Amino acid sequence: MEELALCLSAPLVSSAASLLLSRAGKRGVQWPTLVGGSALSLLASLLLFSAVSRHGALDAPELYVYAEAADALAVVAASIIALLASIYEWGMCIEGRLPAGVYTALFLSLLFCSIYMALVRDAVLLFILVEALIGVSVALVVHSRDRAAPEVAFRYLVITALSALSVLLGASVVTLATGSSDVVGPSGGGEEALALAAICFIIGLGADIGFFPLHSWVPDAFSASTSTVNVLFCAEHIALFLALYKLLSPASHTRYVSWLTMLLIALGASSIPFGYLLAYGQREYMRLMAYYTISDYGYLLLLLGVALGEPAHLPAWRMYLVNSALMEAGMLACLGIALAREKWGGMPFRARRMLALCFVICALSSLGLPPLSGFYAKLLLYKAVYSFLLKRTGLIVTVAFIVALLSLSLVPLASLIRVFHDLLTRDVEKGSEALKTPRVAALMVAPLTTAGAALLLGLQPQILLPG
Amino acid sequence: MVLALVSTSLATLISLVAVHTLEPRRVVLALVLHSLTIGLLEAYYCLGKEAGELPYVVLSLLISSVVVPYLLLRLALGITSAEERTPGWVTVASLSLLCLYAYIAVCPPAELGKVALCAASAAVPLLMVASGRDPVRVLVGINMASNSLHPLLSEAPALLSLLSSVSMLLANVIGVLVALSAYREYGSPLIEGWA
Repeated sequence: MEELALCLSAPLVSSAASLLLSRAGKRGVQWPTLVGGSALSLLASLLLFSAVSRHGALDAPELYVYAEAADALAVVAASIIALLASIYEWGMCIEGRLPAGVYTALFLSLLFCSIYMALVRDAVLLFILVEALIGVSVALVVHSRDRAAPEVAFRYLVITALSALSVLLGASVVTLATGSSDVVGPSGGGEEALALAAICFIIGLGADIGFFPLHSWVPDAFSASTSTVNVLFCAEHIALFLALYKLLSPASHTRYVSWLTMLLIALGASSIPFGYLLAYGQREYMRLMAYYTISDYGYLLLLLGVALGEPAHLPAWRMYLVNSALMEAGMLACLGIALAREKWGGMPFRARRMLALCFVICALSSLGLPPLSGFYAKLLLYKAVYSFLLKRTGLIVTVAFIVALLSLSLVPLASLIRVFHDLLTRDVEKGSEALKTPRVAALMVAPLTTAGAALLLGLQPQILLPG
Repeated sequence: MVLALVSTSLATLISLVAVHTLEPRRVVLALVLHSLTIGLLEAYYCLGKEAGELPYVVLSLLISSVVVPYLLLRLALGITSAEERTPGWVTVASLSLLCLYAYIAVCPPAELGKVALCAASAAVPLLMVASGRDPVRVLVGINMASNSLHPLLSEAPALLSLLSSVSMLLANVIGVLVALSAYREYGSPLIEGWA
């Protein structure tokens, strides 16, 4: 119980402290608060993981929270990404539209919402957290000095506010049908109502996450946001997918589970080629990553559908979720540095070489090449999909589906190798907009850590399979 | 039950009027009336429940019918909105939704009748979001839709209802700040003029 409270209060208190310090006119405290708050949150989440590993699960009904080892691991991953994003931000030295104290408070608030969302067990509270997350995310998008940022942020606000209404509708249906908004405990009530609620949750959280066909805001938001915010959003996606799983679980005990599973598999299977094919034509790094991310959401949806039908595959889904978030964070950090180098007047070849190496390790891990962490995540994914489809569709359809998935994995390889070549060989002229000199060592922490994680987790994949 | 039906119907009519109102300040006034209609109903129902829940409901009512409209009024006064005629398709769609609402009210579905009624009521202001290029109308539409779904939270603890209003307030604050700063930067009252 104390560990849960500590895990939730660490980012919240740091966020409040940041606002108070900035109001008190203290200068130079932004970076210590940002990095310190994120480090404190990581420490608290590690304590939570340790406690959950010892006790099996922790329940705090007063906070509407329930944590198993896999949830705690997701919280640790989200906190690691936030810490890497904060160090990366410190290294970047780029000022945005928002005052420093407000920006730090919003950054840590997003971490708080993500952690709470990953642990919460109440559908109504989940809706509230989704709504709070919208406000914070929109403000972080508008922090960028990009010309299109206000328009993109407002459109993002509208789409995600509408998606929150869909989540509210779903939460209300669950509450009215079962008499309780608890989504972890046993649920009774009307099966049709729970299936209807599940559709509302898929639409609502689907628009927040941004998978096909609810993705329209994703490329613009990636392109208009700062690279730090894009890295931080990887932590948010872990929480949103976990929330989606929790909200769908009451419907997984109804007779509509096969329909729900098929819907998720169809959405996932359409997201993958859509994202990969559109990523291929992109010349702008962040747009390329946006479409690449959409296709990764496709794999997650596909596996989520399988895991809802056969819960034995749930650890594979959680492993894929954590691994893809870490690798995308690493790739986004590398590309963010590459985008900013023009404003710094180029980069030394040694740093460029290191950056390109980190990028290619994260990219290959994300694509599922051995001996990197993504290999095990993809291997478990293919095994789960194969065994699930074999029972339902027969050998020919299953093999054709797996072969199609494997062939599609080759499509992004071309665009990612192009980016790698660009990072390694192309130097740039100093742009008109000069920036402060970056802290290169701090900048390299996120790429190096994620690349290191890809290698380490490739050798010890059981770390991502707690319990 | 009759009171809830009367209140929801009144709120639906107010949102229908708001959809066809051109002047942004009047649209905000419609939001105040809409929030009061739904908020007072919630407060009335709360009187029959635990006494400790009433302060939360009153605070929630204050946020949705005073604080949020005040923010949106500041936005409406801060930007020179372009008054545009409501598109014909919006009128047709809103009248169709009103007919659907009336049908659900007269013949409610056996299961989840309340949800169907609130969803139909919430669909009307969403037309302002779908057709609006003016940030005030878009934000008012989102707030009205959210208010229309709020009675569905009557089974949840009142604290969660209050938290929901607070998070909606946060989204509004961000929306207003984004719209005001974009208007100052680009000089256009329309969302598509901000890039």
